[in-house]
Amino acid sequence: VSAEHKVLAERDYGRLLRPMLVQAAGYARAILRNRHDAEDAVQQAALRGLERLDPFDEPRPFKGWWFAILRNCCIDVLRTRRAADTCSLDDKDVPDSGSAGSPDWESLSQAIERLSAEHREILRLRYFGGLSYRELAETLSIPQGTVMSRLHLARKALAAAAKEEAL
Amino acid sequence: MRAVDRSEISAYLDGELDDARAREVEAALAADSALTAEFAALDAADKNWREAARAAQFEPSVRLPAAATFLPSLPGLAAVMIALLALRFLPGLVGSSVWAFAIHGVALAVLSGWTVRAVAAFPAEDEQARAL
Repeated sequence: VSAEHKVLAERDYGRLLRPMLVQAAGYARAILRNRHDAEDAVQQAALRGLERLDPFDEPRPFKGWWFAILRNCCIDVLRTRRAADTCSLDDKDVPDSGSAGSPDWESLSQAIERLSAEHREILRLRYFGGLSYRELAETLSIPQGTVMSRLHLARKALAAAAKEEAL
Repeated sequence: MRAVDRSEISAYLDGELDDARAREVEAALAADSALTAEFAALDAADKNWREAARAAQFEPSVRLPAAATFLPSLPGLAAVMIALLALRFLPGLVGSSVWAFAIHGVALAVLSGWTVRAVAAFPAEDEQARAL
C-alpha cells in the first residue's frame, strides 16, 4: 500500500466511522453497562481500526469489520475492569428512562445476559449495533445462512427470557 | 413454492430476504393463521427491543490523529526543482558557494514544509487531532 493510498484510506475511515458511532456507543454500553467505559471502548476501537486499515479488504462490509474490533475492545475493557476489580456501585450506569410500557435498555441487556454466548453476541450486535445480516456474518465470521437461523433462535430465547422476567 | 422455514420469518421481518422469497413468505403468512400470529408476536417484540436498545445510544466523543503523513505533492516537487535549477544556472544571484549552500538548504526546508502542510490541510476537517 503506497503512502498516498494510506492517507486516502485514513480519510475514508473517519468518513465511514462517523455515522456508526452512536450505535457503537449503545452497543458498548450494553456490554459494559457503563457510559464512561463504553466511550473509552469506542475511542480505543476507533484508534485500533485506524492502525489495522492496511489489511482491510475493500469489498468487506466496513461496519461488520469495525464492530469486530469494537467487540474485542469491549472484552479488553471488561478484562481490565475485572483484573482491577474497580467496578463499584458508583460506576453503575443509570438507564435512560424509556417510554411507558416499553423495557429500558438495561432490562433488555440483563435479559440478553442470561442467554448463551452465541445468542448474546448476535442479539447485541443486531439490536444495539444495528448490523445487517451481511455485517453480522462479517463480525461473527459465520455464513449469512447461519446468521439467519441463529438470530431467529436467539429471538426465541430472548422472548422466553423476557417472559420469565415479565419484561 | 418451497416451504417457509421459521428462520425466514425473522429474515422477512428484518427485510433480509430477496424480493422473490419475500413474496413467497407473504403468501405463506396470508394462508396460515398460526404463522401470521407467530410473525405478529415476533414483530411486536422486535419493535419493543429495538426501542429499548435505542435508549442506550449516546454521542461519544471520539478523536482521531490527523493524517499528517509526508507526501511529495506535485506543486511542492515542482517548486523544489525550479529553485534548484535557478541556483544552478543563475550563480550570479548567489555570489559564493557558501551562500549557494545556505540558500539551497533554506529553499528545500521551506518548500518541503509547505508540501507537508499542503497534505495535512487537504481535507478541511483535518486538524492536529480531529474530532469525529
